[in-house]
Amino acid sequence: MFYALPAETVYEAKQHSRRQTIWLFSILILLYVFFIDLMVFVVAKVLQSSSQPTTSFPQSAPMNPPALPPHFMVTWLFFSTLTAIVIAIIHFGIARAKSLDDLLAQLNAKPADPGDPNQATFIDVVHELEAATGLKNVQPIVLFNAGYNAFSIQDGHHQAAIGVTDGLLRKLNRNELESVIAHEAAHLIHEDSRLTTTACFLFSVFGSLSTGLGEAFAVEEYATFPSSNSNDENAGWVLLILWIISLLGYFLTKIVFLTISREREYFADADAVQMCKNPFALAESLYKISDQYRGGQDVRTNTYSALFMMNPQDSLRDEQEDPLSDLLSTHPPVQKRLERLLTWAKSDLSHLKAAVDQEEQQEATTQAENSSNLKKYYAYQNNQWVGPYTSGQLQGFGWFAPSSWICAVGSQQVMKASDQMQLFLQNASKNLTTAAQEIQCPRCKLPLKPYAYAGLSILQCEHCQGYFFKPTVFEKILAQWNPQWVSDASKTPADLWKNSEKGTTGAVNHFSRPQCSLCQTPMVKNIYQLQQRIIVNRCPKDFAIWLDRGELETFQSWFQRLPNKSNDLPPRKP
Amino acid sequence: MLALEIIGGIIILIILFVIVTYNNLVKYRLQADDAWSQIDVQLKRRHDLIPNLVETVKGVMKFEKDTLTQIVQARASAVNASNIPDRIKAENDLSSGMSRLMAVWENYPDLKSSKNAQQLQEELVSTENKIAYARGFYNDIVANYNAQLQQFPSNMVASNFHFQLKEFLKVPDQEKEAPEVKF
Repeated sequence: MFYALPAETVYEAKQHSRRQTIWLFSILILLYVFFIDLMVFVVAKVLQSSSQPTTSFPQSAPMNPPALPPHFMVTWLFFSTLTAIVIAIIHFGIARAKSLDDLLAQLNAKPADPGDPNQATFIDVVHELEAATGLKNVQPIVLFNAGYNAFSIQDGHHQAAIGVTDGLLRKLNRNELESVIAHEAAHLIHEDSRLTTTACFLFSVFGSLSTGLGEAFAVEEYATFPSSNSNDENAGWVLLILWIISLLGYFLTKIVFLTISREREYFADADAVQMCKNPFALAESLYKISDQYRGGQDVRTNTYSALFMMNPQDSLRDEQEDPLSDLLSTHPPVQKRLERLLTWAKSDLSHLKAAVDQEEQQEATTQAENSSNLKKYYAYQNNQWVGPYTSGQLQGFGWFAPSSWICAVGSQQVMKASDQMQLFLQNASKNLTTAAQEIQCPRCKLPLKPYAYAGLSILQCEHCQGYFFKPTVFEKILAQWNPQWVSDASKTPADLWKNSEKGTTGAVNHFSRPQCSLCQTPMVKNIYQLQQRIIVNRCPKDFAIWLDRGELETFQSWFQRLPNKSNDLPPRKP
Repeated sequence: MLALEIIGGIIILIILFVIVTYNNLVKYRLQADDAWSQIDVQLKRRHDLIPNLVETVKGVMKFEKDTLTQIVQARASAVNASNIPDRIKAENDLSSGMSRLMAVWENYPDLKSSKNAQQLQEELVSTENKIAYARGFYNDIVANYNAQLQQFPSNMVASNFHFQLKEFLKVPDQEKEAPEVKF
């Protein structure tokens, strides 16, 4: 089922969603009051029955116990409803009073730095979307996290921020970043994050209530075990019933909230398309994010996961499409969102995959610029100059031929590739020696080149800029980044593998898999280390590891920031 | 007596309706004016960037003399324009010149490798985007405002208090065609 593009303006959308929010919130509050009342009703009923004479005490028969006044229940219900509403209002107040700075401090985020070129672009894009939506003073925020994700947040004092993870800024190009920020800006117009934080507080009341009652029930069970006093037994029953009611309340309120949350994601997607007029770019960025680690355990995302563009937890539920998982996830399935966007873009999934692959190849240049002093060339393809690339990278492109036009960096002289004999020869020899003596790239099948990293020898693919780690090498690198993990590094890879087996995300991964360079087994995307949720491609047979372009650098910068995490909090506003 | 009360009630309702509608119309008109001034801010920003742009690309883009002259002239006439239609025409010329320049930018490896030129390009792209977005936003609001002015019953309030329809910003004709790229 596809949603039509909203014909309404941004302003009407805002009003519409405000109305919708009021409706759903009323349902939430009704549910809330209903369940609190139900619990009070149970308590009152029990009190009433226990004060009446029972058959087990026949000797106390002559005097009737004072009957409860008839309007007793009504008064009780009235007061309990009042209490419930007061609690709800207090919670609303707390949620609203939380300042943006506090929320950001909890997420461990920092304002974007205009000195860094990637972050400068991000700041520009946020300002552009301010122009598109009429929002004022949106803070651009960066979350130092190896994952790929984006979020928007606002508080009760009309302060708002749009945040992206460090990893995302490296991964997306300008158009894609624009579409992602537009999605987040749409959330801000609809005031979704405020809704989220407030609703989280609402159902957390039932959450804590049910945990408390569950514990009380367990204690009661244990205490009544030796004696069989009927009064105590009664109390046990009451606790059990109350516990079940509070659990029910928790789930029902949560389901209503999740329904709102999912609907809002579709809404924000549609609005982002309306603003940027570029559904394909948003589809591309969703596709790229969905393939990657989304920053799960690094931030307190359990409470805030609905704020993010994609659920930061790698939840199986998000990808499945059965009624139950549809009901229980904060975000709609990626596949569905992609389908909607691609329909608007008049394109399909295979097109999208091809486009992303091609772009990854072209983006490989930025990495090469920093890492090598090799001579680089621009190449002429499809009527435009691309590059600069090293000769190694050029060889990997399907379109690159001896007849291609190239131009060395720093000179204005354009020549055919065949004039540069060295390039051409390497290209030819590559085709001749695809034999197995050399270790090949798991993705491109080109020979890997040794690459010195932190005193260790790892292998790099010149074309796609990914890194291949022979068994145990990655463990050593991790130990260098974080000395506390030396114990981990000394473990055999097999132990680590066993540890991480539970976290395999391979089952839901419908994206292309690299093949191990050593044994040609398809590598599995799985969680390398549960504690930090590093996700890598790993060979299930000999534990070799493959990291795609940029992932190693992202992990590195992430780990190097870890020790002074506490100093990274943004200063409070005066 | 009852009839009098009913009539009184209806009159009060009508007065309330007029007040609410009038306030809404004023709000929309203010929003439209604000959106218009936002476009102005971005256009000003573009004017400020152009001398820098000319300085950077003048040596490199030997083949784009015409485009550069067009940009410089359009900027001058936009800054000196005395009335709005002239200004709009000049800004439109400027827009078409800029989009042609951005399209050929990628053909100059020297520009791609220079840090300064990259920064400048980012700023230019960002400013062009902001102008486009701000125009879209203005049109959204104007559509909303004009609808209020024409719909029943708010049109009766609008005509009584002399609210004027606002004009949409239209895409200039030469921008509708894709910019031609010369090699």
